[in-house]
Amino acid sequence: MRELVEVLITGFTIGIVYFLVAVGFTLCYGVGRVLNYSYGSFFTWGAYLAWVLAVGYAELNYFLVFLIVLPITFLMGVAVDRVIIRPLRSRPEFDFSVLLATLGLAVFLDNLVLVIFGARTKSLPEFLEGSVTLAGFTISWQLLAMFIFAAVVAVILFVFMAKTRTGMSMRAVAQDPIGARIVGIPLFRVFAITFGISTMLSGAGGILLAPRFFMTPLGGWTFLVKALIIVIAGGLGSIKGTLYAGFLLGILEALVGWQLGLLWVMPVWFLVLFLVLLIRPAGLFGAVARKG
Amino acid sequence: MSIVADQGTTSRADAGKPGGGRLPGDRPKALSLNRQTGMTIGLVVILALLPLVVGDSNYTMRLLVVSMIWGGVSLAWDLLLGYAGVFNLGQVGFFALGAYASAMLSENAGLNPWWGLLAGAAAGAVVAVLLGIPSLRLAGIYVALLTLAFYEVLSPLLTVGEAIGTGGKRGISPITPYTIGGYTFTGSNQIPWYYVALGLFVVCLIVCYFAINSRFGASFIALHDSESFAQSLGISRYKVSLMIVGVSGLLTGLMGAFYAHYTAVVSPRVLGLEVFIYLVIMVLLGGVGKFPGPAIGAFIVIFLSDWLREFENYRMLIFGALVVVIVMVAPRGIMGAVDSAQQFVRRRRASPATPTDVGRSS
Amino acid sequence: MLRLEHVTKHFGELAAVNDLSFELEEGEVFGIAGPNGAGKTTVFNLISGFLHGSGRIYFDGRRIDGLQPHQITHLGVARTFQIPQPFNSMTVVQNLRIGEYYGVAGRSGPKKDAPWNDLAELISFVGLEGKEARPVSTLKLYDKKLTVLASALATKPRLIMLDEALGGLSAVEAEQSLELLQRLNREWGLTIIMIEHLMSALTRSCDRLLILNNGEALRIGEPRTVVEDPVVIECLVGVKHA
Repeated sequence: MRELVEVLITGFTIGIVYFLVAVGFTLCYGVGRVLNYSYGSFFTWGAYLAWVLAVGYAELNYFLVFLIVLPITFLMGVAVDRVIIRPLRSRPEFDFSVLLATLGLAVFLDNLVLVIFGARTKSLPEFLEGSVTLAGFTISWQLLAMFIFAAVVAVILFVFMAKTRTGMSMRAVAQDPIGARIVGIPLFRVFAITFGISTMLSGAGGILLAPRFFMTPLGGWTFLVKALIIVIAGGLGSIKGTLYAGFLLGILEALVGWQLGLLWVMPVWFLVLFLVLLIRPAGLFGAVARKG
Repeated sequence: MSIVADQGTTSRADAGKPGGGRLPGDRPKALSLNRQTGMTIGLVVILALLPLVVGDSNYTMRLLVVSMIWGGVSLAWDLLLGYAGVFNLGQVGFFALGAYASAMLSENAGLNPWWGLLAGAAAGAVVAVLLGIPSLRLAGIYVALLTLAFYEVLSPLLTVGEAIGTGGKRGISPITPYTIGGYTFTGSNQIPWYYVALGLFVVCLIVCYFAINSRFGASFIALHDSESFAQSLGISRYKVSLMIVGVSGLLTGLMGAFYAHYTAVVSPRVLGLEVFIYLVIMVLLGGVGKFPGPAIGAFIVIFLSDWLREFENYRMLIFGALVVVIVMVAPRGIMGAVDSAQQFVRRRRASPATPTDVGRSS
Repeated sequence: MLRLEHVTKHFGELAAVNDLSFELEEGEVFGIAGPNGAGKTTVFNLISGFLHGSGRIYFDGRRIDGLQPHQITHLGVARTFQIPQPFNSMTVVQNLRIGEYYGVAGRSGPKKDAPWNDLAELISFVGLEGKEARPVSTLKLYDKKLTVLASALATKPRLIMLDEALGGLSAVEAEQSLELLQRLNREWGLTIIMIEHLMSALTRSCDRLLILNNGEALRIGEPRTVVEDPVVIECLVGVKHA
């Protein structure tokens, strides 16, 4: 029983990180109509950049690591949008071109990591060591720190979307790109910023989860697929759906990992996704996915 | 209110029979000689004769066999990507399942490997259709997401599937080779493998050719061209996509089955990113939706990759960048370039002062 | 022949079509007009199965709301689109063949009769003679519209829905189109619903006219009476000046 509760707490914490990662992916689609298949590579890059600063070449504390790495992943995203995505926007088969281009980019970025850092797995130390006992349950400081970091980023994101000019522009573009352009919103700048924010969230996820999982150059794919499954299950473009699906699948992962082993996590996730889609084809909170 | 036209017996064949016969602008008759057919036949003839030239080099023969395997798969995949507009990213998954089906049946159940070809094809088709049922009702991007998830989940699934005989992480090895009238295929003699591979490759060419150049093909090209219009003319998007996904899965599973026995090993490694990205480049380089371009792309990629072997890790770096560059610079691939060249020549021929007969005399 | 009962379709908060009911007689030419965003095309999409809302739609006494677009085509309802998007990789004839072949359901489906014997006859009826072998991508707008219309006709419909058949055409082409529509109705006995902006065309060719405003039926009746109704004039003219 006590073990179960601790597993659930872990699941809940992973859930909020997954939500962060997945929401970046869905944001990028919702605003910019881009499904970014290189999303997982930014996760990898976030983790490896953090490793460089915290372990490999310096021993900065995590707070500084975040302050340095997140802007880098943001700028990488903006650059990708400018150089690759934007020229493709005028294509009639935009979706298809973006799909292939970002797939290629993912392979490029992952192998760049491989060439620079080698194939051996790396790991980040935990943010904080030790654990705290609350009402009889043991929670590691690491988990608590993860939760707080993720929650802070999530709150900043929500406030940003709701209160700032840029955030409001993003929401306007998501609802009606042409209308947004007519009222003077610089469409391409909003696309670029959105792309940057999304890759930054992916990078943040990489740093947060790296102490939990080992880092490998191709590790980002697992998280891309996890983001995909959360996003589809929740309903593409729905932030609320992403939130619920993130928690649901995070808790499921903790439970499955505890009872059956981590290898079973992805198969079980996929099974859940399959069932969700059979019952609700547009995902839990999806609205417009169905076609004739 | 009138209740005319309720239940009738007119068969589709009757109803669709082109009354009054063929009209100008109708589809060219199957196998009428055009570039597509010409290139296909040329490709097969060259491949049939090639062992006379390079038959001594087991190494080259091996590369050719592998090219034909992946050539068949890229054609099957292009049927979805280029013609039907179904963004399936799980093609390698169908391939792996075909390979596993054949390998498991021959190693665990003692089935004759030749029957494994059928089993592999069936496995590919069934899984493709099963995956299509929930996803094809949804918008195109969902198909891409769901099939990618399927592809990524397959590797852990096959690893945990040790209990049902998938061999876990190490996979299945060795796998029984084919035998013909007492003769057992071996690695040291590539000729028999080569001609079986050629046979299967030709099966892929023929099926894809007729899938594209048939009424059925017209329906999914129509959906790709203009989806709403196609539906308004009576085409069921769901049914057509499901059928084409089945055909594509079938061919891919078939090639997978052969692959298992040819390499004598199948493991979750076949689901690696490397294989996937190779396949992407084959189709892209050959020309998306430009039959038989993707098959030609397969030969180029396999030989190019062999040539770049000494670059090791940099090879994938190069290939990743190559995908981005092709998409941005030459999205229609080699066949697109051939198109442009042809148009250029035609324009040059049309420009002289006496336009008549110029085309014919040269 | 066609009956809509309390048909409603919401897009989010907005009611694109609100509690719309009307009935069509066989052989009728029925016009739909209204300001932009009144929900005209949405009505077409609901009838032809591209959208699903609430309320009931009957064709020949059979409920068709909830059916898929191709099933509705198989029953004998065809349509065109505001912006013609024919199959650009095909020739004119190949476009029509798609309609001819797939417009009729399989063995168990409803039987259909056509007033024409073969595609050649249909092609000359709509005036595409000599352009059969042209790739559709090389056609001008008028011929694209004709190709889409002819492909729809090739499905052997009894009811055809035309979404701004005259839009974007020159005066001469519009006149030819209008004549063609009238011949479809008189010579072939097709029932027609047409969305149109040109009021003169509607009053000339329609038996009845429906004015939509904000997704609701403002007026429905004999064209001349409807057009002279002050409420209708205000609705149509008011929007024009806005």
